Amino acid sequence: MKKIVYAVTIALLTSLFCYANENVSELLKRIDSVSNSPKDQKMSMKLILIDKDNSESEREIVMMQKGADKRVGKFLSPKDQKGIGFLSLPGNVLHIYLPAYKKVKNIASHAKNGSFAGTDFTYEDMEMTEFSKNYEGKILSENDSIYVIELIPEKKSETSYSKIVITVPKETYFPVMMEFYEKDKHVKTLERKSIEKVKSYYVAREMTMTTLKSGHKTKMLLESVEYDTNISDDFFTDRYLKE
Amino acid sequence: MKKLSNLIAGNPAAVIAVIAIMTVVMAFFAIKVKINPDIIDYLPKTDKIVQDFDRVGEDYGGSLTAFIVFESDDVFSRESLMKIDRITKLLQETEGVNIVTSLTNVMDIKEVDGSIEIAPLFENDSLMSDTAYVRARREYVMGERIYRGKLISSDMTKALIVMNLADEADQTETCEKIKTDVKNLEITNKIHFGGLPFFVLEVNRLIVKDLLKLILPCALLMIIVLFLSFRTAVGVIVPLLNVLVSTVWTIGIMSALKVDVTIITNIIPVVLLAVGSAYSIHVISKFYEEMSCNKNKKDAASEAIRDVALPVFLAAVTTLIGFLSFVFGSYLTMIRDFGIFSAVGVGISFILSLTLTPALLIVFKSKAGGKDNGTKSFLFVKMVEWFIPKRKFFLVLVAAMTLISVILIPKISRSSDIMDYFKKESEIRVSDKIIEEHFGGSTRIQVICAGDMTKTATLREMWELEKFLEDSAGVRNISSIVDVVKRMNMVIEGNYNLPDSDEKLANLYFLTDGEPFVERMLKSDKSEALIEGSLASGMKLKNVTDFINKVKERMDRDFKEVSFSLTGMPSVNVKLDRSILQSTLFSIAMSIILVFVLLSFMLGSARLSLKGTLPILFTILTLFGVMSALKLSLDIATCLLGSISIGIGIDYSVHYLIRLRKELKDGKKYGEAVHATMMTTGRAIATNVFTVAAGFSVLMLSSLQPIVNFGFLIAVTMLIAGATAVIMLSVSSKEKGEEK
Repeated sequence: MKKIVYAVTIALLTSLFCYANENVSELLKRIDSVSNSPKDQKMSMKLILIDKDNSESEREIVMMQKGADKRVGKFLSPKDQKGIGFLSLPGNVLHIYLPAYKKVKNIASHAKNGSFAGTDFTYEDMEMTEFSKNYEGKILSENDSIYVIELIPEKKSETSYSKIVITVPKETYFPVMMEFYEKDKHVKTLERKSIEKVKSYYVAREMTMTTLKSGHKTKMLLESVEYDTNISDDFFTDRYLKE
Repeated sequence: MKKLSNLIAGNPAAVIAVIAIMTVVMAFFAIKVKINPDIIDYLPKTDKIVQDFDRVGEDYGGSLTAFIVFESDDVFSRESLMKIDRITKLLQETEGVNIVTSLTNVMDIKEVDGSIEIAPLFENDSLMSDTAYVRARREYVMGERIYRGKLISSDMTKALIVMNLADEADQTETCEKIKTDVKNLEITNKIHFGGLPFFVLEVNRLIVKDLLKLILPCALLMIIVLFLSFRTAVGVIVPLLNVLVSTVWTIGIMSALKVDVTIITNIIPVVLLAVGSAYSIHVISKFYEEMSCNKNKKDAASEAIRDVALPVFLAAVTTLIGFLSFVFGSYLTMIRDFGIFSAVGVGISFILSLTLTPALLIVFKSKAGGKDNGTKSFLFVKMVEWFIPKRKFFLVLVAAMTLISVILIPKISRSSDIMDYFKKESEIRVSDKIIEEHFGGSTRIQVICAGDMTKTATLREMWELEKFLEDSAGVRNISSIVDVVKRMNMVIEGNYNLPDSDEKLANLYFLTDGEPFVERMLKSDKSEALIEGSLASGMKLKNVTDFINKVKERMDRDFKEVSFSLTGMPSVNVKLDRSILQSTLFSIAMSIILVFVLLSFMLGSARLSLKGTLPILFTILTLFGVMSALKLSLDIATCLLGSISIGIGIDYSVHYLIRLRKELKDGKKYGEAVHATMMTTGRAIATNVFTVAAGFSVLMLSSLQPIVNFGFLIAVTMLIAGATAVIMLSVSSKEKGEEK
């Protein structure tokens, strides 16, 4: 009799656990569906770099993205960076076009977790990573309006973060805050504001990434965005960079 | 005065109770006092050098550089590299450490199969498993001058880890943590810690060690001297209690006013032990004298207060002047603090000697006439009386010593380098020598370069200055954005040079934007950059001054695009040195003048005052003569000697002259009056001289070299001051007696 009770309890607990897990992965899929799943996107934005003593510098870029890991972009300003382009391809490949030298250079290995053009975003942060495919989720807390979910990277995923904690409103399923951890130490925070719906995706017109140790911030202001316009592969080449 | 003395003598229990309560309150504050060993804090915050120094801290991730040296038979063995990597990672995660650079995390810029690689010099994964890879890297690293002699020694047995500490963090705490954590890694290789932050940590440790180490022997020595003088327990306990209470009060006041203990204020307790006991000794001596005339304790105490109040007051005021001369005379905040709080302590000691001391004397059971008066002739009195008929001999001796001193004084060396604080065999000096031999030195210099860093012309001028620093001024291990730009240009164009256009420069900046190692070199708005380099520490001050002048002269000439300002410890040291010299001269001059004026006023005679001042003038000259002869340098501690000697030494003249005047007033002839003075006040002076000298000589046990020298010199000075005052005044009194 004792054994039966024991077995039933275990079965119940296991199913509960599976249910909870399934629940989280459903949740992550839902989150991906509103933000991380467009086939391609084209955007122009302004980057404002803010020092810890609040001095600001600005740069403007146009950027195209296809799938999760193909990205190409060009700088429009400031004057001395105009024409600089970057191309990021699967397999950790990063090409940079230096207009003054008229040369495309391949930047090796360190690129992924290196800073994107002096901002607080790394090249990795700019990627559209699907949470449901690359992370194991766990709901840390929940109330009427939000979920707080902890994301632990799956072994196969190539991320430099050990953990991400996201805050997701139940109304939109679009994360409004992401806390990035390295070796379990909270290193950066991303806040998303002015959230709008474009086609079936949510987008934040204003994103601020803060590096906690240095107090340095980068504000990314989205000026225009288009989704799923079937961008040609021709754009993701060195040739386009040099144009 | 009579009312006051009767009041104190009439209510000893109440006096003791009030003082006891106040002492408990002060002790509460005293235990919370903080220690600040930071050298930069010696200079006032408004100083240009300090401001530049702070600016480097704010804009470039820390003004202070610390080093760890890792030793191994072969740094390029896989095991060694992994250990260096563990230390590096530990440091990167340590709170208060801003930037860490070592072989295993340094960003290497090079060309690989046509692509630019900005990546760590050692890829971690390969490092763990691949010996062939490590071997290949060794050849590459040793061939690059940006690594050889900077992060690895030429013989490949030592690796350097460089850290920039956050200015806002508690550096002592950070360094302490680094030391413990590195130890906990259980790496068996030899590891050395160097650079200013670790020196400061060591100074801090030694200050605490000193406080604990010095007090006991100091008290013991005084107990012996006091017992030999008074031969009663009360004669030992009362002065010591007086000192203890005044020390607790002084430290309590410092703590309440949030003034930290420094390498110099650290010696206040010993100063009070020496000075504070003196006032008490004079009161006790007089008390016993009165008791031997069969007076009761209350009357004896009351009489002692009345009689000794003036000389003790004068002694206290002159000592106060000695200490306060630092407040107005010194540029260095630490010395000013020392002046203020020593003066406070002296004031407290004075008040206690006229309240607590008599109260305790009444309350304690003591034999009347505890000390025998005159039957056993005192060695000191004998010596003085031997000199009195040999006036000419004495004068020749004084003249000769003065002459020798005057010749020697200009040869006194000066020192303000923190390295000189440590004894030669100390661990910190050993580390420093290793860093100097293999990595060009641990003393960092920084040049702040203001100009438009987006122009190649600006960088070209920086390069010019760097070449000058390296070739003509002996700076090693130079790093700046110029090096990074040249290297990147080489990777792209195959030319180790600055790019030929501003546009290319902008492109290169783009590649390193946001890299932490660049933040140490270039301000983000590109309006300023930093050149850093190493100098051998322990450089003679003259050479440092020459170096600074040479660099400044070069900086002011020929450069149009950039304005340079030099900062770092060498500049701080030169500034400290100038301040030390100024402080010394100014405070000595000021205390002599003030003491002279005060004595003239109190004794009502300029001639008497001059007579009182002469012995101390001679003492000061002899002191500096001795310093020069023994090659002891004028430093942060020994610069205090002059004024302290005046403050304490003048007391002997004051006590002597006042007693002599009283004896003469009582109708004694000069010879008798001198003898009577010698047998009473003379003996008290002798007791005092030996107690003070004994007290200060304990400082010779200190672990900090300036304090050792200070202790030795002040003990010698006190002996000279005491002997000279008594002999000189006795000899000149004889002259007057004969005239009469």
